[in-house]
Amino acid sequence: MNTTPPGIGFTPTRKLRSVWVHMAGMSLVFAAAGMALCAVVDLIEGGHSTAGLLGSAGITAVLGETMRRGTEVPEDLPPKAVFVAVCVSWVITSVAGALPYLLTGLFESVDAAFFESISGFTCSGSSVFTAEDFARATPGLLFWRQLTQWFGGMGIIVLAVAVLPFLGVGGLELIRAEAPGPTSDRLAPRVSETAKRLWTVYVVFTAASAIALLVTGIGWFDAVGLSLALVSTGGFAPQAASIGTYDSVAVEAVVIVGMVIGGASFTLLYSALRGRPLDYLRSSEFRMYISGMAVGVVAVSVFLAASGWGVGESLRMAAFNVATLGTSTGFGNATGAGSPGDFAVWVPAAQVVLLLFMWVGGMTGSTSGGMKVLRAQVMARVAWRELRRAERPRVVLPIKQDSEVLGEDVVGRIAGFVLLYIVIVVGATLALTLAGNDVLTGFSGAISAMGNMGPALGEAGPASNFAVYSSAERMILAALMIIGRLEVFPTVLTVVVLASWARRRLRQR
Amino acid sequence: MTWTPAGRVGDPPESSLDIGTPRSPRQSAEANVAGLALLVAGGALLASALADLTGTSEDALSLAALGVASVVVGLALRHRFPLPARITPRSSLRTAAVTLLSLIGVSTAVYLLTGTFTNLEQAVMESTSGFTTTALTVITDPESAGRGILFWRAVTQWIGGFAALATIIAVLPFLGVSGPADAQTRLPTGISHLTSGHVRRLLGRYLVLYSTLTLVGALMFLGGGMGPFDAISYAFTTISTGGFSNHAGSFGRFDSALLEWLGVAGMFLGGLSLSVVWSALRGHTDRVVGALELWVYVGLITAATLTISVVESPGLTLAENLRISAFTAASAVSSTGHYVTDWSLWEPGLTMMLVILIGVGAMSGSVGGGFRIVRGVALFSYLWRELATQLRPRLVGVVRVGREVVPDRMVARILGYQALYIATAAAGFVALAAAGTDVVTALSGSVSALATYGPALGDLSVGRPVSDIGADAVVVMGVLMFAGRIELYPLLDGVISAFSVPVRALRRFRGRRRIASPDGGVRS
Repeated sequence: MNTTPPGIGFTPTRKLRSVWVHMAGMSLVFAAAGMALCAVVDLIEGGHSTAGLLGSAGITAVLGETMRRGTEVPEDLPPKAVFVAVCVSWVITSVAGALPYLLTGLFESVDAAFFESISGFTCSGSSVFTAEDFARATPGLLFWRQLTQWFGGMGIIVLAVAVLPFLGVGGLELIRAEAPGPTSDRLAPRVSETAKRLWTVYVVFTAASAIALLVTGIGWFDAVGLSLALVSTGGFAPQAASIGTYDSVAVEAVVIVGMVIGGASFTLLYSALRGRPLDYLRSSEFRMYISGMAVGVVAVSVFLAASGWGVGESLRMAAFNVATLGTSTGFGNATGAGSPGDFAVWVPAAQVVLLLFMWVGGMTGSTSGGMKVLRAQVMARVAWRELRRAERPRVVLPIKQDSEVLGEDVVGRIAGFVLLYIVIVVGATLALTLAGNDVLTGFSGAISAMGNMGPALGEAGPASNFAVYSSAERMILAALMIIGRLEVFPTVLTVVVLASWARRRLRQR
Repeated sequence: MTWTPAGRVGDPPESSLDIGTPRSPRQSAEANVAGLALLVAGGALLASALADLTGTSEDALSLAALGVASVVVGLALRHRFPLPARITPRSSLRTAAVTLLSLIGVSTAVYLLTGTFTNLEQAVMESTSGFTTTALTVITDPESAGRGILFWRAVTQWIGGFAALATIIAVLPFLGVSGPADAQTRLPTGISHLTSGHVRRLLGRYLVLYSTLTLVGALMFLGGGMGPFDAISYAFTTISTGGFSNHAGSFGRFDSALLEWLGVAGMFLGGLSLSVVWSALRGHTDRVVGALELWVYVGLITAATLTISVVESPGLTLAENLRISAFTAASAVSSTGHYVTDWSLWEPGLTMMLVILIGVGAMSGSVGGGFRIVRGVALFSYLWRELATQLRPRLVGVVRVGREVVPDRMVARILGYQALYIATAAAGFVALAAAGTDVVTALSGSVSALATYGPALGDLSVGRPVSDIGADAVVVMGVLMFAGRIELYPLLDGVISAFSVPVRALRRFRGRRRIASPDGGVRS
């Protein structure tokens, strides 16, 4: 029986063949490049953390380059190697991403830096930055915070696959393990070409939203920074009060449009950029995504208006916050604790609607998190079929999506995913409440972290931050973020693989 | 519309059960079974009248009159509508819903005519809570009510418990889900091979078992120091996992350690699968030992008891601490709703744990509610197989519960049930919040009502009258309890029927328009 960790195997004359070391190395190199860019930004903006950023870049680059050069990707990739590679690369990159926070001296505690980094890479947008931290942080560091989200959005593995010369089927498996959603469309016959096109679309989209934000009159630093977290549906903002800083309908409108596009499938965006914008409407998932959000906005506005708000304000708050949670972005438009945008103080009915959006999240194939609209759709169809079957137990009813019949194995896998998702959220809620949080803060925190949302309800609302959780609780939340970002199965499988490997080693002793 | 023996013209036969049996228009399973239920309710009302005579006797006359009326109507229904020889799945669904509704109707009349409530909503809620074996009550001070009414309340839960058993024995197998919890067919076995004779025999057996357990419970409580009236009432509400109480403080009122432990035993019995009880009585120890669900049930209660005792220990002795913990844990897992202390004030983690346990619920084939442990175990086994197949795509695995293999067809049905359960709970969550409750109350209330436990967190904590959450929210809770007690299908089927009538009409209208269209569009 194979007793080495997955993917590691020595051959005398060649390099170490390990997909996870190689992938992690590549990811670190990209991260280092990002850190160097931030050092430049810091220099331009007159910050004083250039050295810290350059230092982080240096350490990360040396480590990454060593890992990359010393290894090569084996030709055949068993599923477990793929899952472990993606998962481990993410964790290692997140650890490296914490370096700038530590080396520039902003955070002294490792766990706060690590949490911020994970929250960034997983596009969650839950922050432990307090208003003081924002005041102390240099422009370069704030830019790094935004950039982590941008990297994490499209996926650092997709980026790696894009530049790897040829990966064959294994590459697609890698993308699949990282990409949000149960399916991943190929935009081109070659996997690396698919990855390249995805990243091209991503860059174009980022540039466009940065320009749109610039037009609204916010400065270039904020515009670029926001656009990085916008297209990745991340939710970090360079200002302490997030979008609430500007208190501007124009900025909010641009952000809403950006979030909605970011939360929709990038395959559809690619088609639209290639001149087929109507493809959006042909996708039943997109129709559900948009109509669901429209219904949500109406419902929330009604609940808010019924609680005594003006209609205009209700609509504005409902539209922004449904969009921010329905796309798992997590920007806030609260101008302060208890202000209209602070949904932690809204009427419960509106909060419950928001919780549902936090649970479902955006579309498959987008940068968003959550359970995904497609899965919710399929589950609704499964529920409907179950009722029909109760009347006629022997009737055969296939589940269809976009007039294509889904195989029972796909349906079963989706049902399993939803089940696992709920089990993990419930388990984490139990852990968070046993650690002393109230039920609302624990439950909404778990749902929010698992769906890569950002803000939660209760004490961790949009006008507050995740510093309300203790370090141990934040580690639980950070784990949930990675589990959620990588779509549950890869992380859980990695744990299973590593556990069984460790067990075998122990038995051998 | 033309009706043939097998249903509407052109429809495929709904199942092999109903081929070639002429169905006269007078035959109706719905009316017949509802009539039977009314007969039983009538008998119970007469018994309540007798019970009232031992107390103040003020309601005896109205109870007796209603009892006679209920018996007469029941007999008339049974005479007018004989039971058809074959019942379609659809009709069995409707039968379950109609029977429960008619029972609730009788009980509402009882509460209104005896003047227990002057408000229709409250009477309906108390009746629904009774027949769905949920512990939510509108009565703040039960001791002020007459003995007849108290007895009737308790008996509604007992009847409701058996109605629930009848649903899982006689209705669900027709639907291909969650078959009877017979010793041989402990697991859901798909479309039932059971003949109606077999169903009748099973129902008879379960009735005897259920009554025996109730008798055991009554004797236990009597021995523990309750008066005969309380002993019988509490046996009714405990073995049925109902949770109504003759006193404002539930079991805590007796202030007796022995009675509380006996309450734990009673609730444990209530949540126990009757097939396991049957196997035990028949001496099939291997079947009892081999029933994984039983061990999970015991394990959940034990683990919860220990967790509560460790986390929540406000200056109590070990014995007191264990007793309170065990009582609360057994009440939650068996979905009963009796209490000795307001557990919603405990550490948030413990309250969350209890809500989860309430959602998981009791054993299949028991009177208890919830998602049912066996489904949970099957789903975990399914998840494990799913993970294994992702690692080794060519692996062919099976889903098991203990030693028994669950066929894939059945797994698909359980996954479907899971989707239905989640959707219903989520809808209840939103509806409760829209009706004005806070988020935590809405979440825990939705789970608790669907599991027919009743009390929950926030405004729904134990000992508070359910009317505290407002009339709209009470209606939502009532609907959820109803859905939970009859395993969702019958209620949701009614909802679908209500929706499908206009949808079909619309389709027919569209179809006609298409035929009439000049370009000769294809008829769909």
